[in-house]
Amino acid sequence: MFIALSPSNPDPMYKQVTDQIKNAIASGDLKAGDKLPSIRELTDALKTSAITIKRAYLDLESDGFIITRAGLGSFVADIDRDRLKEEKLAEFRTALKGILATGSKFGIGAGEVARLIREIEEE
Amino acid sequence: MSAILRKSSFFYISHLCTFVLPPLYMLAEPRNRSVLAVMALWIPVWLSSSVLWSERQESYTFLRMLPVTDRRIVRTKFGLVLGFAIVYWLVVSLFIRAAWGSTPQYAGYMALTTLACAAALVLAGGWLIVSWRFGQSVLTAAVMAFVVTGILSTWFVDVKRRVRGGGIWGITPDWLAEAPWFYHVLLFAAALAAFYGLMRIAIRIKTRSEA
Amino acid sequence: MAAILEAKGLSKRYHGFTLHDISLEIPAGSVFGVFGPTGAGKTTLMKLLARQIPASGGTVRVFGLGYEEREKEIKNRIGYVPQEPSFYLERSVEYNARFAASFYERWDGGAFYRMLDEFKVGREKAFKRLSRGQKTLFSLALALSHGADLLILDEPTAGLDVILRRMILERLRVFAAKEEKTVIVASHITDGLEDIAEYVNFLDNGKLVYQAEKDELLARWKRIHYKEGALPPDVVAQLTDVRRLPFSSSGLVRDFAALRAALEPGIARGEVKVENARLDDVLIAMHQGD
Repeated sequence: MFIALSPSNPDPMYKQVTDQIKNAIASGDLKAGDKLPSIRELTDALKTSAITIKRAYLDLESDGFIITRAGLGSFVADIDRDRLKEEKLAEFRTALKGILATGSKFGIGAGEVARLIREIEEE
Repeated sequence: MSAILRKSSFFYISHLCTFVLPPLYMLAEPRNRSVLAVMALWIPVWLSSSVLWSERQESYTFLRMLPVTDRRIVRTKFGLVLGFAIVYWLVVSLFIRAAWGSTPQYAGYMALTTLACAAALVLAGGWLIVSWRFGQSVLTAAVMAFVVTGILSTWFVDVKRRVRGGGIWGITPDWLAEAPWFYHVLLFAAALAAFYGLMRIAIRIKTRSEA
Repeated sequence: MAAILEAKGLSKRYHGFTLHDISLEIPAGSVFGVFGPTGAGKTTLMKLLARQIPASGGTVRVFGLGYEEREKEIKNRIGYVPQEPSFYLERSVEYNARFAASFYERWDGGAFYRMLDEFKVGREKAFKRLSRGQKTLFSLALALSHGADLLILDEPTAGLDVILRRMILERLRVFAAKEEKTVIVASHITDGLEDIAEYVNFLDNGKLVYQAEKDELLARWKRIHYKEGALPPDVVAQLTDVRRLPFSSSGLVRDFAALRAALEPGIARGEVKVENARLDDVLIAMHQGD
C-alpha cells in the first residue's frame, strides 16, 4: 500500500487517505479480508492527526469498503469492484468535462480527444 | 547635524547652570570666598560629567541609520566640548575678576583657571575617545572615578595658599604676573593642538567602532 | 538590469563568528531575499550592506558609490529597518521622527504621519512603550518616508502576528512594485517574506551557499513521494533528504527536468507523486548537505 499525504492538495487530508486506500484496494495491494493498520499506526506513519484517520476509516466503513470489528481492528470488506469502477468513472467524467471545455477553447473537438486516447492506448 | 548639537548640549547647559549657582551665592556673600577659590578645579569635573551624561543618552545605532558621517558626529561633539570649555573659562574669569580683580592674587587665579580649562578640554576629548573605543560602561566607571577624585582633591588642595602674587606655586613661572597673556595664549594653543590631535584620532576610532 | 548594490569579498570577523567572502550583485527593482538558519549571519550581512557596522574586508558599492566617500549620499537614499530598533527610548515617537527628519533631504512628513495613523502608532507615546510590532512599523514608516530607493530590512516580520505581518508584506510589495525601487530582506523562511522574494539566497554559517531566482528554484526542486521499490536505485541515489515511512518514501529532487523521464513511468502507475518543494525543505537540504 502506498499512501502519501500532500498539504498542497486541495482535498482534505481524510479524503486523501480514503482515496489512496481505495486505490490500493482497486490495484490489488489490499485484498478482501486484509487487515488495515490500526488508527494509531497509520497516524504515526503518515505523521498526521488521529482525528483525520478516524474520519477516513469511518467514511470508508459507511461506504462499505471496510469493516471494523471492535477489539480486532479494521478489515477490507468484500470489494464491490463495480462500485469502485463507478466512482472512478464519475471522477473521470468530471475531469474529461474539464478537458473538453479547455479543448473547445483551442478548437479541439471531442473527436480529436477520442483519437488521442486511442493513440495513447496503442503506445 | 544641528539636531545632534541640540540634543547633546542639553546636558552641558544644565551642568553649567548647576556650576554657576554656588559662586553666584558666594559673590553675594563677600566674606566667604572659599568656594570661589576652588571653582577652577571643578571645571574638569563638570565638563567630564557633561560628557558622560551626554554620551549615556546617545544612540549611535540610531545615528548610524541616518545620513550623517562619523566624521561629522565627532566634529560636532568635539566642537561642543570646545565651546563649553571656553564658556567655563569665561564664566569663571568673570567670577574671579569680580572677587579678586584688584588683588595681587588675580593673576594666579587666572593662571589656575586657564590651566584647569586646558586640562578639562584635553580630558574631555579623551573621554569621548574612551566612550567610542571601550564603550559606555568603561566610560562611566572612569569618569565617575575621576569626578570623585576631583571633588575630593578640592578638599585637600589648599588653593588659597598655593595662589600667590605671581602664579601658582610649583606650576607656573614667576614672570606670570608681568606677562600673563603670553601664558594664557600659549596654554590655550597647546591645549587646542592636543585637542585637535585627539579629534583626528577620535574620527578614526569612531569610524571603526560598532558602538 | 544594472546592479543597485555590489558586494565583493565582503567579510566580517567576530570573536566567535565569521562572515566569509560574500559577493552579491543585487539587480535594481528586485526583491532580494536572504534566508538562513539562526546564527547564519543574516543580521551581520544586512548591517554590512547598510554600513551599520564596518567590514573586516571586501567592498560594498551602492548606487555605484562607495561608503568611504559618499556615505551621507547613500544613506539619504537607503531605508534601513533593523531587527532591534534603536531609537531614543525615553523620547516620544514624534521626537524621534523629527530628529531623524532633520537629517534627510527628501523627508515627507505627510506620508510618514499618514503611515503612523494607518499603523495605529501614537505620536505622543514614549518610544519604549511601543509594542514590538509598533516599533517595527515605526522603523518601516521612517524608511519609507524619505524617498529611499533601496530598503534593507532585517527580519521585519519576526515575532509578529499574521495581521501585522500581512500589513508589512503588503507595504513592501507595493514599494517593490515600482521599477526603480529595490528591497533587500533577511528573514527566516516561514516569516512570509519568501512569498514576495524574487531572488532567494541561502546563508549558512557565514557563507552564501546558494543563490537562485525563486521561480527557477521552485521549478527545479520538487518533493516526490514514492512507493518503495517504484524507483530505480540510480534515481533514488539522486534524491536528498530522503525519508522512509511505513507507507511511502519521499525525497527532494534537485533538478526535476533532468529526472522527469525516469519518473514518468512511476507517475503513470500511480506509485510516484510530485509536489512543489517548500523553500524551507530546500534550505534544510542545503544545510545538511555541508
